[in-house]
Amino acid sequence: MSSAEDEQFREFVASRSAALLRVAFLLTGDHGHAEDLLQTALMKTSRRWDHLVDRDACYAYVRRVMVNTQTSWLRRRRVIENYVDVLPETTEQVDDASDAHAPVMLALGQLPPGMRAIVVLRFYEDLGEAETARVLGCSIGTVKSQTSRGLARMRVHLTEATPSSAARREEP
Amino acid sequence: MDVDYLRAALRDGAELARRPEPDLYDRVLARRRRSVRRRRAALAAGLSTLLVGIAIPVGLTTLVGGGESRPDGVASPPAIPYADIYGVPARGSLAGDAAFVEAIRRLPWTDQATQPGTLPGESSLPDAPLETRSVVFAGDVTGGRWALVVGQNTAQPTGPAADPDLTDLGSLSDIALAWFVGPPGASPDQMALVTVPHGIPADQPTSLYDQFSGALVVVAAPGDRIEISPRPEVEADATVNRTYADTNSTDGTAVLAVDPNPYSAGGLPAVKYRITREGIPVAQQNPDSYGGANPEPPPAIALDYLRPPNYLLPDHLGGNQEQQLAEQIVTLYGLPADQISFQVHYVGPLPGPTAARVQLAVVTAVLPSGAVFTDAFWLQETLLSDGTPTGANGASCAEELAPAGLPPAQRIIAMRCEVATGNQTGPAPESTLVVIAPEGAPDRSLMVEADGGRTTILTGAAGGVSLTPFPEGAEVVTVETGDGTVIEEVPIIGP
Repeated sequence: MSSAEDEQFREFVASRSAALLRVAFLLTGDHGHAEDLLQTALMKTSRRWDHLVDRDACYAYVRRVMVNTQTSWLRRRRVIENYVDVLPETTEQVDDASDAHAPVMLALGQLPPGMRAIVVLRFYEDLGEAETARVLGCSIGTVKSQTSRGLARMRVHLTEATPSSAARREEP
Repeated sequence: MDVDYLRAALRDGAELARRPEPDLYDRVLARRRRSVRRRRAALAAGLSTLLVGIAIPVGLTTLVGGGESRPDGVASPPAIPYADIYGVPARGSLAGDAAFVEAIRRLPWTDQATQPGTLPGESSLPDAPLETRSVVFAGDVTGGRWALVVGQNTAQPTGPAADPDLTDLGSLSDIALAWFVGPPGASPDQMALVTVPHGIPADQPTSLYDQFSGALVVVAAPGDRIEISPRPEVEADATVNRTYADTNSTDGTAVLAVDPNPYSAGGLPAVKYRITREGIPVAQQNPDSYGGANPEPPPAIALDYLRPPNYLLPDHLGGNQEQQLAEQIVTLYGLPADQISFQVHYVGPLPGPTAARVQLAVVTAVLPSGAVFTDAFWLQETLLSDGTPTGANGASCAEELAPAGLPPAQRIIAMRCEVATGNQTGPAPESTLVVIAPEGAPDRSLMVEADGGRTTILTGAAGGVSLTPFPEGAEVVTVETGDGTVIEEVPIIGP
């Protein structure tokens, strides 16, 4: 990179990394992984910086690199989360659940990385299905089905996490 | 949970992210320099590595010039001739069975698994009126009977949601499709809806794939050329290629049986298809898959343990992770497990940032060409504040595809493993240099040079596994003789 391009890249990192890190956090659910994912994406972007014509599209470019890097883990399950069948009842859980967003974040964390990426792109980044498919390099049908199944899984998780549902009796 | 609530919760959740490090820019550049040095070290060592786990983004329309990562077909592709894929008579081995086709046409498009959601703002799913439906494909495939039905798309978005720049082009189309699957010889009432009905442009091909049977159906336009690449091919020098074979389809459908993959490892299948129309590329992609866990789980993959495993985590939390790694490698390369030889170099503890136990597994796979894929993965138990385990999470340490050469049991493996905690206020990630060495000459030393000076990793003839705090700046592990002569440089792989 030339010194001017280097300065532009520095300004881009300074101005957009906070927003990108928030996306990375939603994609990974982990602060350490999010920072690593962002660093990786920025490193790759720096290699291509002098080839990027539309500097306004750089945010989308880095986001795409992050999603592709993260979902390459999906393809090989590079990041996994296994849970015990029944969570122990503790005050810590109650405290967590007191935050309005916490149950949704927990439900999001139950999704496989690719499905999670689709939910994040569709409902946090507000991308359309076509753009989400382009970012992920998959078919629109896959975006549709993964969105539907992801939301269904989250609903199930949220329903199970709701105390009133636990007391609900099965219909005779 | 409605969409507005979900969006608000995601916004709030995203605010939990830390602020970027003030020196993020410097860290990125330092990491880039390390990456360059590592590649040079690898080349110097004669190990031109290919990091297969790092995805190159495709469709980067903001790129100019012919950069090495420029994807195929990006540069001003010629216009694809229009062809009506779904407006032609039924195709497939059962297309001539009028009663069967008519019964399939009448099957409902909704079931419990694909009921539209109740979220306000969530798009409903198409349910084509019967009088608009037609059967595009009906036929016997390996392990079953499949059918594709199209009809009027009743779920086209309206108003602002119909902006073609913002929404799914398929949802704006006039037609929608649904796949039905049944067992071999299934009667129509045994055919079940297996995909979420969705709109599709009339000239866009579709496909369905079942990894457990290997059945694959691709539906394109009559006259389209359909080619299949069952898997990526890894050469002895670790280059990766794909070969596409013509299916010789004449009616625009291909009914194929590729090698099944019995392992439920998830991820995209190894198979890809490519469609060209009048010589112009139309599509090149993985097929859409359906299905869940294999109803008949396969036997465990044979693994050669070079050292006794030391399991820290139970199986239900992924403790037997070396088996999962092997299954994922089988899925990645689309090969029968018996065509790959697996070696387990290490299953045991890895230092972590908290008291939670961390287990590392390092596996190599010798592919048929002799190229060696190295895969390392850590798992960390997650704990409540009182120490109660709630599960485990994990991530990849390193992936590397290296050229054929020494058997893996005789190779030195060096990698950086960084274990992070998801706790916002938790400690910094723990970074460890993992070196796995076979037996060697009595006077050898394994050394690493870093910003803080030289460190001895291992000396003497005995092999072993070394876990040391990662010396920042380290790029390679050198193997030296008693007089200090460097006889080998082993690149440190990993993030």
